[in-house]
Amino acid sequence: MRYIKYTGLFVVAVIIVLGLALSCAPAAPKQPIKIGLLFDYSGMGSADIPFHEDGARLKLDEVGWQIEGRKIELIPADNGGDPVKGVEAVKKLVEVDKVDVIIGPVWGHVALAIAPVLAQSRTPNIIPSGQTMGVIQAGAGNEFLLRGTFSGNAYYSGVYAYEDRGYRTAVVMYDDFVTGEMFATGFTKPFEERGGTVVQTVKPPLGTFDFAPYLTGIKTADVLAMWIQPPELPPFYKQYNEFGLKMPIIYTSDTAENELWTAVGDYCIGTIAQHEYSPFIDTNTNKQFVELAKKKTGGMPPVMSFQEAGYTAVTVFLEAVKAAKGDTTHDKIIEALKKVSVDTPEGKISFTNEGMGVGNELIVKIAKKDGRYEKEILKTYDQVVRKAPWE
Amino acid sequence: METILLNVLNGITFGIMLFLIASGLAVIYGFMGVLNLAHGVFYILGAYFGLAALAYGVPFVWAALVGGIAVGLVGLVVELVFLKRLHKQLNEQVLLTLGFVYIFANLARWIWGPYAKVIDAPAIVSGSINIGSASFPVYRLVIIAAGLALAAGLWLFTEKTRTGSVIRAGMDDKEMTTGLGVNYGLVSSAVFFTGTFVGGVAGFIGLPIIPVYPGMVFDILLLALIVIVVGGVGRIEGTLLGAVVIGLIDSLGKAYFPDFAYFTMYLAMIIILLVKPSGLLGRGK
Amino acid sequence: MGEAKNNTAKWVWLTGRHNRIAYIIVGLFFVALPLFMPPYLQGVMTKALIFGIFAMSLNLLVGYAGLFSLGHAAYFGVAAYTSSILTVRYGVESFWLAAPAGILMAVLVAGAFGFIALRLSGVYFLLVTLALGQLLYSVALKWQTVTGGTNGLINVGYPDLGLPGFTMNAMSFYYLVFAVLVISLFLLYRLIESPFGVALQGVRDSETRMRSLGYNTWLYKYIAFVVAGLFAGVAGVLFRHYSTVLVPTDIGVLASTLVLLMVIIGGDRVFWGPVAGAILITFIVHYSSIYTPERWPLILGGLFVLAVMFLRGGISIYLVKLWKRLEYHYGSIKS
Repeated sequence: MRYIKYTGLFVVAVIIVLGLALSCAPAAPKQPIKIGLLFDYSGMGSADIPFHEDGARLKLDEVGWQIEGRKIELIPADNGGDPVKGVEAVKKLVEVDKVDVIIGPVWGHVALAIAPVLAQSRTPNIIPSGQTMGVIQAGAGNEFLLRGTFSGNAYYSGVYAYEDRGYRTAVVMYDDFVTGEMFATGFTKPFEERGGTVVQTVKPPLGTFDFAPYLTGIKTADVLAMWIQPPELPPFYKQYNEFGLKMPIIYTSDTAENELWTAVGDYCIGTIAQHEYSPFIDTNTNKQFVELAKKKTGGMPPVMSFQEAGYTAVTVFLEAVKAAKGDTTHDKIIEALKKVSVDTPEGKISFTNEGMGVGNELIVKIAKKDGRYEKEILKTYDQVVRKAPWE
Repeated sequence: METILLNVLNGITFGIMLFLIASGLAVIYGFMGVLNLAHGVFYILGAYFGLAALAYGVPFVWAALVGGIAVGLVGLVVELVFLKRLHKQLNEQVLLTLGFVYIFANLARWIWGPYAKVIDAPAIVSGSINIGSASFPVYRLVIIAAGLALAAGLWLFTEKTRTGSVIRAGMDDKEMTTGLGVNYGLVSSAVFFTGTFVGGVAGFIGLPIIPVYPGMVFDILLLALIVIVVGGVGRIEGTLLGAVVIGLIDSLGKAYFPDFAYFTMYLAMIIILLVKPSGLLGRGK
Repeated sequence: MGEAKNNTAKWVWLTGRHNRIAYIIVGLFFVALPLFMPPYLQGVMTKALIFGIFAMSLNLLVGYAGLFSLGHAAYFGVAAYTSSILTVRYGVESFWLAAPAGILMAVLVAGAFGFIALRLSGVYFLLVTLALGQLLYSVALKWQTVTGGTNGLINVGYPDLGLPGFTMNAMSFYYLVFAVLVISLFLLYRLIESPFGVALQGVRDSETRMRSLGYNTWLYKYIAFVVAGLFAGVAGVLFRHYSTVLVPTDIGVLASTLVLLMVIIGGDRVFWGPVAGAILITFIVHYSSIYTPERWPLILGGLFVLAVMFLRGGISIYLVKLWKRLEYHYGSIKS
């Protein structure tokens, strides 16, 4: 009698487990094209990072959520700014959802962590933000760096500082973090190659909000080349002014948007920065895109550069699908992506054989237009391979 | 020469900020023996409530008080509804207060966003003074004054008034205090309110220097704990001394040994504790 | 009937033939589980079991020695990093070499830290363990050439057991972890039941009394500290194979806090309580970060508050009561 009861319990347990397992079983049939999005829906970056999804939706709305006779599905996943979470999310996207491409992430360390996992399945990965060469090296030809590498981006800030602005000495400041270092190297190497001198390097820990100890000892030079993560910008600018420092500032890669600059206030006006996109790019493609985005939000949308990145990443992917005539097996898509060349709001985009993005690089200035802090374009470097010459 | 002076001033300012952060926790732990792990949360809530008041046009000083009182009330609710029932149950206290940290930090994020809020100091005390050829923000000096005022106030209260003596007695021996006819419950609630009030006000007046964002709750808690342990539990002077010492070590460390910026505080704490286990001015275990 | 075996009535044991059946059923359940799960879920369950080992190790300190440590992730992380570094930077492929090295490192660090931390007690102890954990976190952060800094240390791959013709996959890794968990539970159980364990609990209950009886209480606490570090290291070397990337946060205060919460919510008075807590929390965090990524701390915090108010002693006590009630029901019917 007793044993019947116990086995009864056991059977119940098994049923529960089966139920769990079945509910997580891989769902849809292979027909729809599945785009996986890996961004920060929680964690520090979640205030503006997931706007890529809005941009992706804009593009998909444009094409009616289908291409080459197949429907398209968008599957967002959260990496929480944490590599461990990113790996788990990617495993779900690859094993359970069986996505055809993964767009994202933004963080460098997350991208590095997921690269080996994606290499195993050769899932194409389009990354809409600066990265390091390590991502390509860890991949299996499936990594596509749409916006290139950190050093590749910051490179032009160094070139511009010396050639166009005539700065000869610089203080370099960056968050003590691999990304920061890469941005700093990107600025420093071309600057020094041309004859400039870096008189001091300052490295506050990541997450510093009180820059006082660092600002009191800072030397004076022609320019301050800095990279700190966007949340730290408001206190930095305030304190910079409080301590009476007057050097012009070059933000070696502007990863901040209007929403953040409003927290800084007018202190940021005049800062020169490097970036890949500005809503003021003077092409028809871009103007149309901006109009489209404005219509959806009824006014200038937030975090435009991330929206555009999402939009462009999807655009590039859809081009590849077209070229592969709707065949979304990983190898076909990878081949197609390597050959793609398409016009996007940020200019013409293509990839080198190793997966490095080829496009424009801009030097911009932060200016106030209609009450918003926008990137005014000072110079465009046309159709460059978005990595530094030494990478 | 003036760089050294500036660094020392920075150190002292940071130290006083630490004192402001830690004093609320020190009071609560000293009297009630409750380690309020949610202290960081009250700190940022004070800032947020104060900011809300500012948005309604309330002047700076009043906004600080509003922030503090609002937080104090929240703390009171937590204490009355939850903590009272968990007397001496350390496990449950830890779980509960940590649970509140997660909850409130996430709520704060939901309402106010994850980005740091920064404000300018009130007009009369904004701006910088000149020290040699460098500038130093006036507000930081104001903070030093405010912190010292708070320390003096708390000291006078606990050393010189009757309620103060009750609190001090409670810090040393709870049972006796109850035995003497003191309404322990009322006093402990009042202490909790005061502790969280101070924490909230600190959060708000620190805004021009230390911006506030939901992710900082554990960092604030950690700083407060370090200060209390280094300074020694049971005396306000201890907390103040501990705070200034840590502040100086941290700032000077960052300025002169930047590669060790992460370590200096922890190393200092470990060394001090090894040499004097009950803290610099502690009353012994 | 096998009720409270120890003298302290608070502590609940389940022994005796009736209760052994429960263990067998649960054991079979865990063995059968992966057969019904996709590899992805197997992974999550494996992670839960790894944290089960980790939580058990912490409970040796918290529950049985009465020492609240907020820096326990240090040993977990050190073992994981050491084992990883050996494989990634020095080419040590074999699990049988890398894992013991990692565990050894954890033991050494625990030995050193225990020395420092045990000079203090109460909140001071809590703090020093926290500080020591953070110190190690800073080392992991700064020593980029070795640990990869914030980028983390990337190494993919299940343990290489050196068995010819056998490569591990998600399911076999699960069984490996499960086996290690069972062995660890067994060893810890023997330790608790031994004279050492009983004396340790005596120290927890009243150190002065034990000292007056002539026990070297410091030594007992120290050994507990080091053994706890050892088992944390065991969990760590397993975690490294689950995780593909190690970041300094795995060593820091957030990790230490989470495992402490697992111990408390699982219940430190029932022997296997922390494992239950680990499984519960791992799954809740996992699912809520998929379905409600922005709100999961809220859910977790809410759970803790509810647990404190209504689930005193952790869920394991609740499970034990449930079992007892079932037993009573069926036991009385039987007789």
